[in-house]
Order: sequence, then C-alpha cells, then structure tokens
Amino acid sequence: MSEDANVVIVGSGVAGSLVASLLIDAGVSGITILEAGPDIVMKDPRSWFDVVTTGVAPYESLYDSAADYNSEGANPWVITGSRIIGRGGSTIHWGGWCPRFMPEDFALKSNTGLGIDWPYGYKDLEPYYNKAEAYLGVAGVEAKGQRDWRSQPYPMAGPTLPLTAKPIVTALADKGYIFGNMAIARNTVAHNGQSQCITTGTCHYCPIGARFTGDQPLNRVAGEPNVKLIVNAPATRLIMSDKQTVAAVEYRDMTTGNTHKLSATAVYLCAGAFETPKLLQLSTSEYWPAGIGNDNDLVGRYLVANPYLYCRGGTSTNPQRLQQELNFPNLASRQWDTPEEQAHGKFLMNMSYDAPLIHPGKLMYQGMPANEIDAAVTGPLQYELQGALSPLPNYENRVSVASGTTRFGLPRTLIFTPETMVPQSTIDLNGQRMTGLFEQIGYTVSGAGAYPQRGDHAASTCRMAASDSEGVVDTSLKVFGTDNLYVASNAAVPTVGAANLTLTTVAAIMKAVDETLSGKPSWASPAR
Amino acid sequence: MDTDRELTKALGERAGHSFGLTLTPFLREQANRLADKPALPSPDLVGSLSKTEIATLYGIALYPAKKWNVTGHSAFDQAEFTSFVNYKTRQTPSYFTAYKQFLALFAALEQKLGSDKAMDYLYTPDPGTPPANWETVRYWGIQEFLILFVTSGNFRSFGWVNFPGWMGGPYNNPDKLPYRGIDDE
Repeated sequence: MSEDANVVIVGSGVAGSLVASLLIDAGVSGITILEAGPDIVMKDPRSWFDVVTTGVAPYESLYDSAADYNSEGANPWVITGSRIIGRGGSTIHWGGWCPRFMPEDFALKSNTGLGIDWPYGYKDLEPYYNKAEAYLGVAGVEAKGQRDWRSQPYPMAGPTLPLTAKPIVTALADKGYIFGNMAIARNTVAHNGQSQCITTGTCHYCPIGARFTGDQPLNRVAGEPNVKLIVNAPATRLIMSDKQTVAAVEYRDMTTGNTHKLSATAVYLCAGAFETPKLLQLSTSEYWPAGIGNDNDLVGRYLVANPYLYCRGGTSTNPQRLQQELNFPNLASRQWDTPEEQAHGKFLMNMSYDAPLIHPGKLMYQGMPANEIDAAVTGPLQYELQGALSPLPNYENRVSVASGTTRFGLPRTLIFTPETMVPQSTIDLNGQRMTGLFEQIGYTVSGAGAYPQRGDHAASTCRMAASDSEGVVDTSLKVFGTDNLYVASNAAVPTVGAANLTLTTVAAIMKAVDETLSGKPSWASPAR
Repeated sequence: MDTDRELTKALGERAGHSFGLTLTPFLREQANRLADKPALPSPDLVGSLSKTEIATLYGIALYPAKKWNVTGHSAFDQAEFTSFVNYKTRQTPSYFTAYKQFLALFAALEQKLGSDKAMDYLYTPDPGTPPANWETVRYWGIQEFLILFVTSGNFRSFGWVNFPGWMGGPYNNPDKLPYRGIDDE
C-alpha cells in the first residue's frame, strides 16, 4: 500500500515528538510519525494503583525481552528495562535527570586524544540548553561558580534536599567536596500545561503528569490537522530515489501484517541509538550497498553508554527513622566530573533515592509483629551512593542487526562490545571515593562496584562530526551524502559526558533544526 | 552480578499488562514463574462486586490497624477503597475472580472461626495446612491491602511525613514541605 507524507518521523519518543513540535511551530505540514510500539496509557488511576500495590508499571511489557537481542563482548550489555518501545518512548519511565554536559565534554579528542570533538562547543549550545530546559520543564538550584555556566536561571526552583540527605551532605562538606541538587524535569510549579508535582514518590509512573514524558508533546501536536501518528508501525526500510534523496519509508502495520510504503520529502530518524543505525544498515540499495550513510563503515560504531557504579554503606541504628520520603533524585556531586578525570572517565555521583526505604506493609505481609517492625525502622540503616561514568568511545563497540524479528516487528539487535568503556582502575578509584565518604561519617561499607552495563543512555552510533570520514551526520544532523535524511537522536551525540544525555540531545536537536530551517529547505515551506 | 542480570531480564517478561500486545500463554506462564507469584485467576473476566462485598473487603483491609496497633493517622476511607476495588475488578487484568475467591475463603473461615479470628488467620503467613486459593488470596488480596493500608496515611505512625504512593502535596514552599527537609530534626 502506498501513502503520502511530507515529513516522516521515525520514532515518537522525546526526540521524535520534539522534531514534530519544532516543525509544526515553523509551519511545516504533512507530518507522519511512525511508532514501532503500541500506545501507553498515562495518568491512569488503575495503572497508578497497580504501581503502588504491585510495583509494576503499565509499560514494563514493552521492554526488550531477553530474546530480543544478542549481547557479546567484554561486559555484555543487558538492555531489558533500559528503553520503552511505545508511544512517547523511554522518557515514559525516565527519572527526569537533566544535568548539562560540562564544557570539556565537547572537546574529548582535543583534551585526551580519544574519540572525537563535537563540531561546536558548550558556548554554542548554551542558548539551546536554556530552551531545552524550558521545553522539558527542568527544576534546579544554581550553584555558585558551577562550570556548566548558564546565561539564564533554571525555569523552576529545585526542591529542598530531604532530611535523608543530611549524612551524605555532612560527609561531602567535611571533605570539602562540591555538591548540590540534581536538576530534574519535574514541575515545582505547573509548567507547559502540565500539573505541579505533588510528591507522590511514584515518579516512574506519575499519576498527574508532573514530570516530563514524551507523550506530553505528542498530545499537544496530535490535535494539529496535518499531523498523523501511527502506532504499532515499525519502519523496516528507507527507499532512496537516488544517492542523495530518500523517497519513502517502508513500514509494517503490526495489527494487519501489511507492509506500507510512505512517500516523503524529508525523513527524520528519531529511533534511538539502537534502532536508528539498524534501519540505516538495513536500507541497502544500489546507491548505498552497505546501508545509507555507511560508505565508511561508521554506522552503528562507537556505541557508548554510561557505566553505573554503586557503593553501599550504613550504620547500626536509625533513631531519626531516616527514609527516602521524597523518593526522586536530589543530592548529587560533580566533584569528579572534571577535565582532570576526562582521559579515564569522569564521575557524576548521586545519592540513591530508594535507599534507605522500608515498607512496613511488606513486613506485615511477612508476619512481622509491631515491635519488630519498629526495630527495623529504627535499626540498621543502609544508604547507596551511585554514579555515572563518562564512557570512552571505541570503534570496535557496535550495534548491528541480528537474525530474526522481535514482537514489535523490529529486527533483533546485536550489541557487540569487545572493548570496555572505562578501565577497571576508574571503577575502583570511584568506588574508593564513595567508600571514603561513608568512612568520613563512620558508616560501614558493605559493597562497591559496577552494575551490569545497561543501555539507558546508549549513544553515538551515528555520531555528528565535521566530515564523513569521522561521523555519520553533520551539525544539522543530516546524514552525510544525503539531502533530506536526518538523525535526531542520542545516536547523533558524538561523545557522552558523565551527565545523563537527554537534555543535551534535546538541545542539540533544537540547534540542528534551527540550522536546517534557516536554510529554507523546500519541504519546510508552509505552502506545501 | 549474574543474579542482577537475570532479574533485569525477568523484569521485561512480566505478564499482566499487554496494552495492545498479547503475550503468549508460554510467555505469561514463564513470567509468572520468574516473578515467583501465583497467577492472577481469570484476569480477562471483569465484573463489579456488590456494595456488601466491597464493605466486607474494606473491613478486612482495616484489620491491620488492630493487629499492628496502627491508629490515629489513617486517611484510608471507604470511598477510596471502593474506587480501588472497582478499578481492579472492572478493568484488565481483572481481580474480579481473585476477590470472589477471597470473599468465599473469608466466609468459610468466618463461619468456622468467627470474624476477628478469620481476619487474623488471613494476615498470618503460615497457617499450617493452607485452605483452597490461599496463595491467590494472600498474594493478590492481603499483600496489596497491606501496602494500601500503609501508603494511605498510616505510614505516619512510623515517623515519616511522606511515603511512596501518598500524594503529599507541592514542595514549592520550602517552609511547608510535604517531607522532612534537610534542616528538619
């Protein structure tokens, strides 16, 4: 079946819905968004009751299953639970963490000889960071002298740190380390038509939509007359009419099994760091025998994500009954998110927001009497410090297509990572740093190490670069060698800092779309 | 490490919430096994419990106040509980059959032991020889009632100001936080 669109956007997550919003604001019409997964019910009372009483959110069946991917290498990735394949994408379940990258994160190669430099610097992206923070609704507390300098205040004030943070704050202050609030996309006040946070402590499924999720902009654009969103519609191939021009997107309707051909004058791939390179690799033709944009064998390479560390420490009594009452990210330290750490991995540390956390209902279920429950509440106290490392890119680490098809109609994924993303010495060093904090306040450390590598912040598989010898897309996120094909996704982020990259991805997409529209491409004409 | 990996994988395979995608019986069975929980009986069969039935369940759901001496902080009212039950029975995955089994078990216990002892029996993890549907009633009924009991305000008995699952209110006024702030003692 053949259908027509002007602009086709593949993926309805934070990137796809952002591109749709920006194009609509610019007067572009005829937009079709293809989403491989199904709709996800949001702000739903029944689902929220389930989250509270069972811990299971409605999107969990939309995670990758173990059968959906192969993972091989030095530290095989486990991506189940890392991304959501459904309307709104992975911000449906994200924590909303929105720290900016540090200025040095844009110059990895210049500073260390590793990886690549961004084609532009922090100061070029800074205005778009402000716009991205307004778009996502970021609440934060500006720290004096912070190196990720800002020209505008945060859109919203951040929350006061909870009492539970006090022991860790004491340790950080005693050591003379810097610390502050984690910037988060949570509404201190009502913002962008979304509710004010009322502190439900169930942020992974907010009953009132008070943190940014990808469905929110989709809901706003869905009412536009020239926008169409098709769910259960995995894109299977891009069809080129010549070397430079993408002419159509082929997709499968999972409800009927039929294959459709959707003609387009421009295509934005917004399908994340796994599906985007896979779709380019699969789209072979006489013009691109190794896949679109892949003449230099770079599509899918340089796969990175933040390694994630932990350190658990505690003490024998808890007379203040400390408990994570706020239950969303708050205390963080960028003490080791510095240029000096860049060559072996920078570290952004945070306090886990779900430890200490005791649920008396679960103890009652086990039959524990009242006096023992009270003893548990006032007894041994355990904290967890955590943190993300900036990954070091390596050409050998790659995403590609495995044989077979998932239940979403997507090709299965092969994640091949023969090279680790940081040396073991970096993991050990930062474990020692967190251990030192617990020791500072007299807590006993019960364990430290790295979590299994997940794929939540996977990136760089179609990286932005100054030329096609170094990357896959240019600063406008257009695939080198094409005229109308763009990658607006984590996949295009050239290098990743210790900070979560969603805010930076959003800012980079905003900058790129500005650049594209300023060139007045024919498909962007409102008259079309 | 390996355990973490297996648990992470299992997370993606839980049954119950398909939303447009149907899990195969194999996957559903496997997910239930991995999660180590009894299957929810007849999850596709929706229905409404009577007011009397809901009132009976509400009485059982309130019993922890007596058993654990948790009083004075509850916002656990019958209207909210009725709303909870209706959402659970009228939508899929439906608890309609599970709650019917719950009510039947309680009726049998009540006839045999009297009301208070029947309730106490339900809140005792190991009753010796378990009666029919015991695991289902405990897992899908008692456990969730206990969680709801605590999150619906009774967490305050343990010294906390807020708790996951409780709508504490806005935090934009530092002088009136819905949780204990860093300067609180």
